[in-house]
Amino acid sequence: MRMAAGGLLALLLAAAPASSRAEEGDSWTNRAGHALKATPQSISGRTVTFVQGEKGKTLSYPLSVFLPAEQERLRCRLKDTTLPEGLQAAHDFAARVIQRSRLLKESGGLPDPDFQKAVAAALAAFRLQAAPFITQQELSPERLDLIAGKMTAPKDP
Amino acid sequence: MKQFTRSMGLALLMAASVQGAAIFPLPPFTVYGKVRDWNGRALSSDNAATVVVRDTNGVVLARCDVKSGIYPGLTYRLPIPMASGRQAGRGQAGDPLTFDVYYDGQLHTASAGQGVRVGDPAGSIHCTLNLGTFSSGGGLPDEYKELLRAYYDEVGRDSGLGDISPDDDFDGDGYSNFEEFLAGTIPVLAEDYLRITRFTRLADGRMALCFLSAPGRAYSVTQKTRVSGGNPGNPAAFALTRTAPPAQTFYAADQDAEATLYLPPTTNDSAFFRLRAQ
Repeated sequence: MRMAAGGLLALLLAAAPASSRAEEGDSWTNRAGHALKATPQSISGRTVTFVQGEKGKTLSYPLSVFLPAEQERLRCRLKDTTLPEGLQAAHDFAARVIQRSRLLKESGGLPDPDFQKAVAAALAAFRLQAAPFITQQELSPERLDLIAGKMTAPKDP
Repeated sequence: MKQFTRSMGLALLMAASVQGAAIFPLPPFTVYGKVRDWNGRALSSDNAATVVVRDTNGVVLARCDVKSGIYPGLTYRLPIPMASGRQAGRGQAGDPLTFDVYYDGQLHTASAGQGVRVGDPAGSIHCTLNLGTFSSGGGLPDEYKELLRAYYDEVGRDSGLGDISPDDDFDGDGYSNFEEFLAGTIPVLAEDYLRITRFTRLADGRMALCFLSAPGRAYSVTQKTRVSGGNPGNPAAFALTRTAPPAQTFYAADQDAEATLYLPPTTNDSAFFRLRAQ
């Protein structure tokens, strides 16, 4: 029984740092260096909406008030696949390569291994074109993965 | 002396008025064609674009909105007013022309290839207006080359924009980068080029012709009884659905999709069909 109590205490201790990590994740630093403790809910265009406190107070801020790295962290958290300015054309071209490869595969004009190869080549080229945006912190590797994942998902008919 | 000056003045006035009277309007010279963005897509009515033609002094000679669905490869038509003498706002044979396109909230200077000049009154010229940057010849915009560049780099063919030749066939499918740009197919995908992917005869005798369409391209079909000979064939009418009458002469595609054109039954023993993209 004593062992069980000790085990429970260890579990509680282990859980505590995890809980404080979650709170840290909900802290967002603006350009002035102030931290906003709130949970991001949605992003629309360049405005992000948070919910704060137990009463669920809603707060909306322009994304631009946050540090660039924080903007990316917010976008990533909200699974936002908005592209940085200047990457749209590369994205659209890679998406077309994938889309037409898929159409060719469906019509029997492209065997599956060749389809996979075409998709991989399109994604590799897109990542190459996205690399400068990652260097300039306009795009995080995590969000690039999100965007790439969306590109490869079949389009709704 | 006073009388001499007065008569000289009168003579000058008369000369001026004779010269003024000599300038009379002439039938317009028409420039027509389509406007292509740097992806090779023809702008359509949906783009709400306006084309403006100016003379070398920047004076507007004519303007029109881009309208699609009238004829393949024809989305703008600019009748340039002409006059027998030099007059602002009217062109004269031989005058060079410049083109601007208001599109997507911006003013773009359009490239018209070798340079277009006003021709004879009542004459016309077909001219495709290209949007984009053209730092080297060959017809491929720099913006498009920039997209291909990543694919060249990926296979170790590191290259500058100038090294990406429109005549190169990067994917080895038999069609050059420029030909694929025009057709809207992918120049880095060997299996993708303009072709009839399926051709089937239906139970009612109609024929279904399938291909992969590309956005901003207009497709037409020609038909001939023999494959040989220089004759390009006759335009074939078709329908876009199984049940519609074959009344279409072109199909303006707005997306990448498998398209099917339904052709009426042919009475000939053999028939050859050619698919054309514009």
